[in-house]
Amino acid sequence: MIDGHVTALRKRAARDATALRLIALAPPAVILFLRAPGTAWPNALAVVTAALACALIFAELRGRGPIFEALVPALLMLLFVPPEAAPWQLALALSLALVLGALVFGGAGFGFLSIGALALALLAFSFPPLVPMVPAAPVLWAALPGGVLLLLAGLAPWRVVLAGAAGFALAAGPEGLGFAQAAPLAVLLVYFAADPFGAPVTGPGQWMSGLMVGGLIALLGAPGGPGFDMSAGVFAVLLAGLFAPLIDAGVIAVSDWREGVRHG
Amino acid sequence: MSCLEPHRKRPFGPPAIVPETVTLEARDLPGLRPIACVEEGAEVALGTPVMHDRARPAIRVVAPVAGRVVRVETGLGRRVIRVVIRPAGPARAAPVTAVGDTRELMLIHGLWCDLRTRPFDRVPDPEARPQAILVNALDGAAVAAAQAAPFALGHGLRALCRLTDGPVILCQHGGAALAPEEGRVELDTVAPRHDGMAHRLRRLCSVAHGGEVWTLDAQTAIALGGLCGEGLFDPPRLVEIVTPSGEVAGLRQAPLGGDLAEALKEAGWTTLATRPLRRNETRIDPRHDAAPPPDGALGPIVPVPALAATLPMRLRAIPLLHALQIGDAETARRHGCLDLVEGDMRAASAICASGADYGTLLRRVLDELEDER
Repeated sequence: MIDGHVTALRKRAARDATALRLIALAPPAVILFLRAPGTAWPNALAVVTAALACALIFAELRGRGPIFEALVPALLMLLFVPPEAAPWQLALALSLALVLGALVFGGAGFGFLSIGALALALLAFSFPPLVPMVPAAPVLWAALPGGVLLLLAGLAPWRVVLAGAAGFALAAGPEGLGFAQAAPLAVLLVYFAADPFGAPVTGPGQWMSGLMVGGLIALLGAPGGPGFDMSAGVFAVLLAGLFAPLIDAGVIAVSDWREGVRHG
Repeated sequence: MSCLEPHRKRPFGPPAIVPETVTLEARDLPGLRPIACVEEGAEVALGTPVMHDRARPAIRVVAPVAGRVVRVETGLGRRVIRVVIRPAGPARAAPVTAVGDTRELMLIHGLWCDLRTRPFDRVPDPEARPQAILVNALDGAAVAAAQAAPFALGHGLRALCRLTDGPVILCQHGGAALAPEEGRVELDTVAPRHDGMAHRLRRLCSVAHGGEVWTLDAQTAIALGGLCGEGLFDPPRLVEIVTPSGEVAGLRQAPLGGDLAEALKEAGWTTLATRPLRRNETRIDPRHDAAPPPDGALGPIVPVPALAATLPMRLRAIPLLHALQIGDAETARRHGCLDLVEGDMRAASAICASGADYGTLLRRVLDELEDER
């Protein structure tokens, strides 16, 4: 029974990718609003307006293009920004990320980076004191069911998530591990590192990319700091995303070479 | 052997369709340039040649029913588009004198046109010898036909061995063996997963690095076995009819080209005027008949596992679909597209969100690769 539902979900996942990703992000966004309506509203208004405006302008210029995909990075950004960020700063960073990361390539899905991670990284670059932050615990926990949904639907490659956790555990060592880091790490891996368009598409490539993200999070993270360093996570995802096409090409070249040897 | 086997092979078989018209389509003969050898108004008997290939006249299509030719549609340069026959009565098996080897038998009785090559999905050249022959018993119709005529299937498989130096492999979804394994006849009974012939080919004898393999439906092998074993020419085929909700409404027996509109109306379909049974078709799902979407801008490929699982080579599915979308024939060949034919891409087209019709895209790439040979 449940098996049948999961199969149906996996078959529909590609067509309903945007809807599923928005559904997954809805609970944490709701919790965020309930906790601090005063700061959430202006930020939400800014990111949603910026995302839809960019997508609409490009859809108009090209004469085609879905626009609601842009809401996924907008929601992700809303969840992970520091509270002191001004709405216009968010709008600016998100617009830049959407245009440079997706729209100039032809729209969401044609780029090769996780747009959410790119937006947070651009925010940190452009306005240095504003580094991405781990949201409050209730928001974080509310994001986990959606993460499970994405993993089940196949919209987040499980190999990347698993390899990311393994890579972090290997690089951080036993003293770096803690229960406090599990939830933020899981959310980061599922929503940013396992972006369907940002991660590699070959199996071995996904393992490698996941290990790279996990290792880089531990290496880039502030040494000795308490809790989870979100900015390290975002930059690790971005760096691994830059290498994802190269990893895929390498995996395919190696397998071509092996087949060539086998067939003479 | 023939006296042991009952002549009426399916006394309680699925209900037979007696069609108003029988339409033989030239587009069911990929790689051939057929010309007609009958005229409008002519009477044809069961097994009379109706069209043949221009370059290799030995390859011919024969009448699956006795009746009168009511229409011969031709295109440029006498090339036939379709021949329509009005049957004189229900299609039934007829005794013939079977002479010659397997190749000649199949050519004379029009069974050769049921063979397909991989790569490129063409009717094979009569002079060629494939590395292997794969017999498709994956569909419900093929299994039912094989269970009804196990002797004929065995005869057919043994006869097919004479066409190749390699194995003749009967592919089935688990279950009891439909034919005995003997000599070069092999069985591939992998547990009942919903894979297709492309998965089997990829695993058993991939042609991605050269070589040629022929495939045919188990019902063609049964017809061949009937010819060799008992001298019976039995053109009706079993076909599964699918309801609009996607379930199998039941099996029907119909001659090649027979109009199935009536049976489809019974199954709950409404919009069809005529729907002839196409060659090698064992499952009628009118949802698949819809015209491919026009060439528009394609959306992105969302790389989900369900999409990769529709193709045999899990590792390369997404890169292959990318290559097909941009029409990069060389890259598609490196990713193994030679193992695939148009029909294998249906599931991928249904799941993918990009709106691409991968069957058409693959055909374009295969045509380009075939021209380069």
